[in-house]
Amino acid sequence: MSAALLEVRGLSGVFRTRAGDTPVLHDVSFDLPAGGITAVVGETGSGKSLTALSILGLQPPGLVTGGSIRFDGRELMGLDEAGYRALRGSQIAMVFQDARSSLNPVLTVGRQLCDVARLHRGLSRRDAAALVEQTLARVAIPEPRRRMAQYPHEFSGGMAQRVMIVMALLCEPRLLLLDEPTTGLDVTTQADVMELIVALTQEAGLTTCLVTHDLGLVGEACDRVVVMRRGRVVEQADAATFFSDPATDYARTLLAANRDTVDQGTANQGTANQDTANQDTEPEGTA
Amino acid sequence: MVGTVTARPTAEPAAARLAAVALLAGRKLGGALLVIWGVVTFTFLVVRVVAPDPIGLLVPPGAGTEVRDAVRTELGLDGSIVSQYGIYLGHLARGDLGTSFGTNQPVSDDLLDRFPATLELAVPALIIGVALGTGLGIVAALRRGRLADHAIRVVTVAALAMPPFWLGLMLLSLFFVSLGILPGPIGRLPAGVDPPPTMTGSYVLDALLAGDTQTAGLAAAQLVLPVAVLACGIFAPITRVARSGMVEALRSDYVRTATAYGFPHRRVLTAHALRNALLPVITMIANGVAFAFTGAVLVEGVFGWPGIGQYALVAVQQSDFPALQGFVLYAAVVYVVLYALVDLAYAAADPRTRS
Amino acid sequence: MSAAPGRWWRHHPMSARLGAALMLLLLVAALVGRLWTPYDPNTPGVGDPFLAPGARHWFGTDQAGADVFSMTLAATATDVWLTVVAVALAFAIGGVLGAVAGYWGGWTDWLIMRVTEVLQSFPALLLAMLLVAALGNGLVNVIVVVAFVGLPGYLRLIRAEVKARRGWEFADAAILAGNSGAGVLARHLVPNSLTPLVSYAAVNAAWVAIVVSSLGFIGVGIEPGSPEWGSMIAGGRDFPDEYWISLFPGLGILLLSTAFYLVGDGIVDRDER
Repeated sequence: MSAALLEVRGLSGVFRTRAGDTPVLHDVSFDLPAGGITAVVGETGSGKSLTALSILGLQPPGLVTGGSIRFDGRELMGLDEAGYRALRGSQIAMVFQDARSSLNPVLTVGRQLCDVARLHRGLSRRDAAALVEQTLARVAIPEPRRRMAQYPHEFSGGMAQRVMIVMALLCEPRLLLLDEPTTGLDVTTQADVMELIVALTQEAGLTTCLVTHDLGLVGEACDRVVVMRRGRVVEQADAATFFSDPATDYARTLLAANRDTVDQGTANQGTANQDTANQDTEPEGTA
Repeated sequence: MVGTVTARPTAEPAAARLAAVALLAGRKLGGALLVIWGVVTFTFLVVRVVAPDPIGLLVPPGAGTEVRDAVRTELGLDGSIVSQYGIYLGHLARGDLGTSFGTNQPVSDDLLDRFPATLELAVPALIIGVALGTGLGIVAALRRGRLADHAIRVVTVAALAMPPFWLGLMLLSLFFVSLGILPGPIGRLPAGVDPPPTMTGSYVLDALLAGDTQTAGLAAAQLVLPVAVLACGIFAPITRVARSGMVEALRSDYVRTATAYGFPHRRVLTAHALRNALLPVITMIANGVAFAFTGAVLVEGVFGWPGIGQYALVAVQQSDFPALQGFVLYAAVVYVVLYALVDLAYAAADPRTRS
Repeated sequence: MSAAPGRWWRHHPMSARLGAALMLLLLVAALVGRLWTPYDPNTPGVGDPFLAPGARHWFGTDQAGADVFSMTLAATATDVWLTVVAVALAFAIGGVLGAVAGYWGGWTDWLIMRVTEVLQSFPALLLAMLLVAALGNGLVNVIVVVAFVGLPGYLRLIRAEVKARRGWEFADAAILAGNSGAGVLARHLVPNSLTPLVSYAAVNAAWVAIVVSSLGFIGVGIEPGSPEWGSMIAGGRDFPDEYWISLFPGLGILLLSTAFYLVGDGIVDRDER
């Protein structure tokens, strides 16, 4: 395993409200090795998204964090605005869950992408537009020039997520953070977007961190798995080890639950009113 | 890759957009005419059918039988309600709004005479109200939960909950009666001062154009209190909407995206948050314009301001129904034009409303 | 029974608590004003004319020597009552019409919406003035007119709510279970739309309080001679030196309107959290 690009050590997080303090992150520690895809997996409320947001200092106001986050050996905790600004985009780029609402509704998609290209690559308006068009084509968006003149509401969820990935690529970051990038998309689109993420990671030699609740999605794509539960890291292992021989009961439950939902998904595609009781006798290999 | 795509000018989407806007404008115009017709008809019904004594409403109070008979004949009040309606619409179509009993002049002339006074009050009040309202709303959102936010909220609720006519009277008590630093409620100029030659219709501007700074100063002093009261009614709703729009925008995913991609805070605020936050303010500005041009009846009344609002107020108090009907038609036209402009403004400012 | 107000108190922000407290204060004042005032509010000459506020006459006396505090207290019931009844009436009728328009759609909806548009193209205050002037002064006329003017807002709001929730599964399920359309409307759709309506009604009531007093101020309100804040302010208009004649009834309107605003805001804020 290569050296870690990002080291999270003893990260803690507390929501401070008038009603009192609610701790949400407890002593979170994990590494993101350089190159390859690491999946951070957990149920809703496990603190995985808050952890990802804390890396870039984007956690919601009211969340007080402690501990250490080191990127390429540099401490990120306690950075000021200017320090974070130098990091955001150019070093670490992030793709969010709901791509359509992550884009400004009153600006064209092209304008938003060009702004990012000009900020991080110092390009002229014209060169930025050319680069954006090229990059859109690279993620298989048809008619990129026409699409650039459109607004986010004219994009489907999957297309919008490709736009967000383009935004990240334009920055040529060292670390790509993806927070539930496929949630809310339909199954085929999910697979397409995942495929794109894997291909781009390999092609560009990126280090990618994929935050998701969907183990099935992670499957073969990732190299390493970090499991979170109730604000704690409960297990981290190489993907191969994790899937063949999970160390904790919780990971086993997660894997089993994932198998169930996959089965249920397949069963529901059949006759609607039929009971799914006899699924043991009909092992379908669609998963 | 780039070279294979022939550079197609952006004229096509622009033309399509223009056509869409034109279609929208056409549909709005149809709707607008329908609303004006509805307003006219509703007023007609109130005066002729709902009111217990229609003729009593349409002749000057205390008029003799001769006058009553003359009006009865002219408006066809002996005929059926349908033929009365026909005569009424016929008069309107010729621009005849009837004759006010208060002034003995055609109502349309009265309205035209009084419009400049309303305009002179409305324009500065709107400029102050919109600027103050937007500014306070943004500050409150940026300082959310802090002292400034709470202070702005107190001021805003007080401004909303205050009857404007009462505020006007209290300001007069203070600044005119007690302190004596501002003039009394005597209209646009003190008695004995001649109005400047008409050019723009605004006494302050006309006096300045005529080089008469003294008259301009007097006219401006007359404006201070009514403009303040009017602006007070305009800024508060704008503040509330601007604040909630900005709070929502600051929490939005796209603002988080802009921050996550390293844009400076100031640029995130202006290029991303502000533009979205101010969209709902358009409607509130329109409400302010409607208030200043048609709803400021009591403010004009309290300050003796000879504008259209005071005309309507006097008409109500004297049961001068031809004048009232004229005012109602004027107000409907203002509303319809205004909200058509609002729709166009949204179509221009918010791409989501275009498709 | 005692737990409900306590829970309400804890779950609402400061502004709503303040609004509720103000509202309670005004209700008590309205009740007291009905039962007892220091002087008879309708009798002139209980003191010298134009007395400034002092120990004997807390809010001073007017030009006829009537006690301004007694008049203001006696008028509380009138303004609170007018506001609440007018809002309740607009809420009820606008709600029903809006639910009908939203649920049935089609030409019913079209007609109701066009009429609503026309009504909203009148300046509200002037429409009220016009109608009261045409119908004549009186308590009932004022209530009906003010309710009528406020009705389109409720209509639009509940129409939008019902339209948005029409497709909900529970409506379909209820119809499948054999309920009639009207029954579904009354039992399932409308109660689900209540929260935004209540906060709208509170903010609207704040505005109604001002409209009611405005009508009184220009003299097209309730029967002349009955105590009402707007007409009291008009009474003090000719005596700007004796500011107290107009000041205190105006503060009454300000308090009533503020109370409603704060409660309405509080409901919205609670939902936002």
